[in-house]
Amino acid sequence: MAPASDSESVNHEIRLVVQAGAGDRDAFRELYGRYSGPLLALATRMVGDAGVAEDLLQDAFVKIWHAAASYDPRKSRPFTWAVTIVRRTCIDYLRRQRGTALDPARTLELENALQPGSAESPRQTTAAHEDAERVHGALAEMPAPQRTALELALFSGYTQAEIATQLGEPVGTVKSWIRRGLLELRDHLNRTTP
Amino acid sequence: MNENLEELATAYVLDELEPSARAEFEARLAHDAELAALVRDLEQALTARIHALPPRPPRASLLTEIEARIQPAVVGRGALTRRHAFGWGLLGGLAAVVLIGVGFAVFQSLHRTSEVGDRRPMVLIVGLGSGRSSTVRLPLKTTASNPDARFIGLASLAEQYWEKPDKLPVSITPSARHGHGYAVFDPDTNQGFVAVQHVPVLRGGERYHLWLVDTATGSVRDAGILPLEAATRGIFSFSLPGAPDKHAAQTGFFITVENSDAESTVVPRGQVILGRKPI
Repeated sequence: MAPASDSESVNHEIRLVVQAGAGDRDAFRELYGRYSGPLLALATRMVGDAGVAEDLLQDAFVKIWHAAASYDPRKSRPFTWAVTIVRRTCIDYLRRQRGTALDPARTLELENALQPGSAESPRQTTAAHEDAERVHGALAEMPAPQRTALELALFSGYTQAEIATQLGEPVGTVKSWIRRGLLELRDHLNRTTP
Repeated sequence: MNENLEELATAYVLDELEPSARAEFEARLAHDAELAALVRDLEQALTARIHALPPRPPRASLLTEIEARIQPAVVGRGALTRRHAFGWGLLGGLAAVVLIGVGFAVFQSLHRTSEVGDRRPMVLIVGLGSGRSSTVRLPLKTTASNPDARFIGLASLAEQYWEKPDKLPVSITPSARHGHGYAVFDPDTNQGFVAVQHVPVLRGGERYHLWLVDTATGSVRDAGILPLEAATRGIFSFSLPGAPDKHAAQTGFFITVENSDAESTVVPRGQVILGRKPI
């Protein structure tokens, strides 16, 4: 069976969210089946603890269920919408843990975790592995400060201003790194996607 | 695109905009195709980065734990309002689903046609009045055969008519006693939406039931229960089981009030509220 095109996949996920918002448990379960793996990976990367990440994922999916009725596909794709809910849930947790103080040790831990090409897993499908390779290839091509800023923006829970403070760089510079990092990742994927 | 917009788009995708800035950006997004394309690209990059993380399947019990939190297990006869695979539910927040950048504008425009032998896929718009109904068959101006895209298009159409009743291509005479409604139905996929307004509040032990009728043969199919309860208006999705009946000459709908204590409702027995029941 040929894989669904990106737009077909997005359409199907929009439908699942709409139906889940209408109280359809089967649609919600399918959405969970599609999203729980990558969203748990995201939560684990953000909070650094697999057990805590699972608890936060549970909280996030409860929020997803309740928020599905108000999902607007004009504003974002379903997966991005779900990512936002997970990230907010994790950021709330991290801020409760941190208080108001930034945590240099956590930043260092995250920076050390930024190893391009270190995401291989035997459980990934061949296609998923190739996709991951492309992403890590893009990250490896980025200048280190840009890569660090981008990864912190995605996974640390810090705002861009806080990242600038952590890195000792002007906010404008960090924002530019993050913006260019995401755009370069996009460009690399467009160039290398078969 | 200028750097300022790119920076805003990045902040938007990373969920860093303040609520007012976010609302302003989303308002612009609705009308700026180039900006929408940029946001889509950034979202794809973000998605790809997340999918490149080491995969982590959650513990086997997690879904069960989530479901226990979102709704306690329901047991007992009559407790369920879902009758079919896709069930019923109140649409919310799905105004004008235009899949910007995805490439599907399933219902760009619908044109009336009286051409004999028009073989384009058709959608039925059924107006529901007190004891009467009227049906218009409109061709789809789309090549989208994907059921998901068609479902989303139906949802968009249903909401469009809800927000702009003057756009409804069938005439309905609202009844002060029974209200009025309409249905949007895709006979090729057996999916549709039904909307009702100002229907009477149900008494205890009653429920509204939607029926599909083949007006040529008089055969009636159960389309399910509207979970209105104390409400008097709403839009609901439905899906009929079984293969689509592509040979249905004419399809109509009607809504009855049935006794919710009945073991099962396979034939309409109650009072017809909207539409016309075949004799």
